[in-house]
Amino acid sequence: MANKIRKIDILTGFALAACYFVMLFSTLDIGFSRDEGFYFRAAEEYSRWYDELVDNPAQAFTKKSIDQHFAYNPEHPALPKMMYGLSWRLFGRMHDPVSEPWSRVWYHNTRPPKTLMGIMTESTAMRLPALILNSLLVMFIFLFAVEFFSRRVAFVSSLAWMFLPHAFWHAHLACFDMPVTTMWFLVSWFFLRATPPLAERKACRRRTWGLAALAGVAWGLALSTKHNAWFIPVGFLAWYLISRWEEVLPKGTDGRRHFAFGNIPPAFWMMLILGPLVFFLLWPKLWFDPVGQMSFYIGRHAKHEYYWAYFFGTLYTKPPFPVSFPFVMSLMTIPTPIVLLALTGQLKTLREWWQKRRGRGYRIARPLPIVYRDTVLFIFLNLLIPFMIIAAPNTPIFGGTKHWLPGVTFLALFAGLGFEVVVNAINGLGERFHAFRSRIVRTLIIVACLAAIMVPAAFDTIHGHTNGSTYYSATFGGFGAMGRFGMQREFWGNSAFSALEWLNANAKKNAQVDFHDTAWDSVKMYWRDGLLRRDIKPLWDFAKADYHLFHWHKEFLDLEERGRQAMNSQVPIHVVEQDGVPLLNVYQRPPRAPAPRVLPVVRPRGLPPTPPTRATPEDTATPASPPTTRNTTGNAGGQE
Amino acid sequence: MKISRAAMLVGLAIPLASILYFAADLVIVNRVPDQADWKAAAEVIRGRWKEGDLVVFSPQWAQGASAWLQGLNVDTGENPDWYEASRSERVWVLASMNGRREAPPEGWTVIFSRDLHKVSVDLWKPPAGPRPVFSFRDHIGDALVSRLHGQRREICSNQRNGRWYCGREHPWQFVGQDSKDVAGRVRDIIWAHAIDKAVVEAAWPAVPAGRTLTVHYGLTQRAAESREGSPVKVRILKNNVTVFEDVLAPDSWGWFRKDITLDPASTTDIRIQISAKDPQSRQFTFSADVWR
Repeated sequence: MANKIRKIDILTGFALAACYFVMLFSTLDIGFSRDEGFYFRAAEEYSRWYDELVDNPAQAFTKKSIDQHFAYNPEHPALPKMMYGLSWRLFGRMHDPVSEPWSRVWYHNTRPPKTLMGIMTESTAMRLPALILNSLLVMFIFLFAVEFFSRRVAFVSSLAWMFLPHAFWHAHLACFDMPVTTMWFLVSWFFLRATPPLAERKACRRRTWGLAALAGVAWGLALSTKHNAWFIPVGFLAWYLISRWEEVLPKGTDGRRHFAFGNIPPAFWMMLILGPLVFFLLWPKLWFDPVGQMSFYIGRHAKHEYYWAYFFGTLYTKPPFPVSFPFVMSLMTIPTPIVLLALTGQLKTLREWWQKRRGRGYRIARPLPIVYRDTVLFIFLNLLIPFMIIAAPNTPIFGGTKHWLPGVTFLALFAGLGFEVVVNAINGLGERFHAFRSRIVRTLIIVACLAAIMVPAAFDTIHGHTNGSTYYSATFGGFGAMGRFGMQREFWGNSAFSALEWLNANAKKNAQVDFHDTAWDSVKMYWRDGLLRRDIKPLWDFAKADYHLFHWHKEFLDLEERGRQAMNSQVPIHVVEQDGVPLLNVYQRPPRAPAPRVLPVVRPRGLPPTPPTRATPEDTATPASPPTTRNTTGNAGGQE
Repeated sequence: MKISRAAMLVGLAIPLASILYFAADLVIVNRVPDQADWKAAAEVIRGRWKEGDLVVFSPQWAQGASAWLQGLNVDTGENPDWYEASRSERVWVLASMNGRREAPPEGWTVIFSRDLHKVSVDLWKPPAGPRPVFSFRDHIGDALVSRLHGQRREICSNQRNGRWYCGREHPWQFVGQDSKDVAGRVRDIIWAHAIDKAVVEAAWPAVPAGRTLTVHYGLTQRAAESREGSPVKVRILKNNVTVFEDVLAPDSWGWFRKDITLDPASTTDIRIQISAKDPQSRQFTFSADVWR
């Protein structure tokens, strides 16, 4: 039987989630990545559907209305963008098109909506649903671990998740990767709760079906968040077939196995029925053309273009990509103390499993507090599958770490289990040395050890959080690993954020800035949030720009060189760096030489001098070159 | 049952390792120079700057000082290239973080050194000996570029902006100046993309007298990573005699060097020929310098 979740557990989980929310909310100085810019735009356009829903509900559910409002970014489900749009409309501080007429062009169809509550900047309002959901994940991790392990494991697992720099950075964005991570975990939690051993399921049928329904709905929400969710049942099925196959193939009285259809866990049925149903209901694009939209959706992601990844000095542009990529990147981008804990947790559970299998379970001095025998396999499979998807040589890997974050939440659970090894060691001291017999002393040492592990991870998470997606652990040289080992630096276009202050202070009036990898929709949001001077004009052509913001990506280095030549500027005027590693270079076009007051006249040899074709009053005032003959305008210099 | 000694050691090693990790973390973060450090280093360089000097970084990726070095000759390549640097009269090494322990290759001599708070500035002189006297890239205008279709020679006579075309301007079918990411950094190179069913030849009929001709060659980063086309064959002829041949595999990654002895008393005819059976993405590049 799983541990009971008590009120104090919910309160503790909520407190941890609240702490994480405060951490996220107080570190919002993170630039808008390319995809976030696209989702800002999608959220804004989708939010217009709410207007129609309020003004004319019958019209809102017509194909025309859906096609009109949900046309943009149809390759991803609508739910997150609808939530971002709703939050933006409710809480965002919009610009007033009357007092700020220039702001019209920053909005869809040049129509800024009216401010409702206006309690936060527009980008923060867009990000708010993600911030809340991602904070709730901390609570889910805590409650999951309380239910299947112990409170201590739960606390350490939650902390381990909170202090992951890459996850923390992604948790700020109005994107899909962290929300789907949360949803993956939530579905797994409900599924595991709904799938105890058969006897338990039969004993509490109502509870089991209720939890199964929750798992189904949660999977539908996960599917409505991002396509990673389609892989969730793979792990569940694998786990069930490995650990519980006897439930569906029990031995009959004749000693032969037969298929027991009724023993299939209700969670599978509910996921099969409710998942697609919720998915369908929450994606308006499916309502009128489900086959066409699904074909497009599957085709788009099955044949996704390859984003290039820089990995140990090699730029991977096409398959086969290295199988080691997600594993090595995780090793390098998760603070080493957390990695050590997680690996220890995995090894300890493996050892216990092996000893029990060999009938030597009695030799385990302090067994890990695990509720069901197969719980560890469940979390291991859910950890492994997201990694394996990206490790497959033909999967586009986009250069970042966000695509296997759903697996990292389960790694945090192993970290929680790993801390039990530390606790056992401290208790071992108590067994051997008199000075450590006191429970208070041992508790203090445990707290100190936890602090020793978590403080560096917390430091890593907060230090350089603006560029958190470029974090590498100190074991590999910190952020310097990017340069030292030839690894991916900038994520996708977000580093421009750190150059805005410099641009605002130094760019001439009406300067034209080539924003390079920053998306137009991200630039618009910088304007709307007041982060970019409104006279600065973005363009994506360094041949015409006054400033070129070069985002440091290996694949763009040839382009940087062309940019330098086009701008006639070999050395950047401003460098955005993180711990000494340049992430973005700002090139400035040198000021042009002033045009000569008099255009030079080239005279053919042998011809008599001719008067200048035109003279200005200043020219006539120059004593060194007094006009001696009438000029063509006839009214300056000479006498009529 | 008592907890085993090994289990205790493992358990206690984790917080201990974490403390060491944190110490390393703090050291790494605290040794990063700030703007004041970069500015101070730049002032030192500017104070003793001479025409023909070059600034490089150590480690080469730590280029935060660039903004303070406006107007100077700064190497902003991703990785160091001491061969290129040795073409300069003097080289300033602006070192920070773990780059402060690194030094140029053997033979370089330090002529000035200044340790600042988080950076150090060292002025180095390249090894004594031959100096570069002739760059093929700078003298691309002197080149005779042609395509050999069996016995037939097609002369490429259209020269625009340091590039020779066989006929109209073409985005990649030319021999001439370009800057490309080759083997870890953007380099100033001569582009000589292999073409279909012909040998591309670039000839310098009167290379000045010198001791050594140093040729560097390789495929661009894009070409090496694309793994397309067939191997590229490169042949160097000195006075119409083949002195070097090499074949670059489709994924060949490197900036390969070949030194060829020259006649120190008279000019030499140097020809470089490039061919590939399947020229798809065979972005061959080279540079060559005469040292005397």
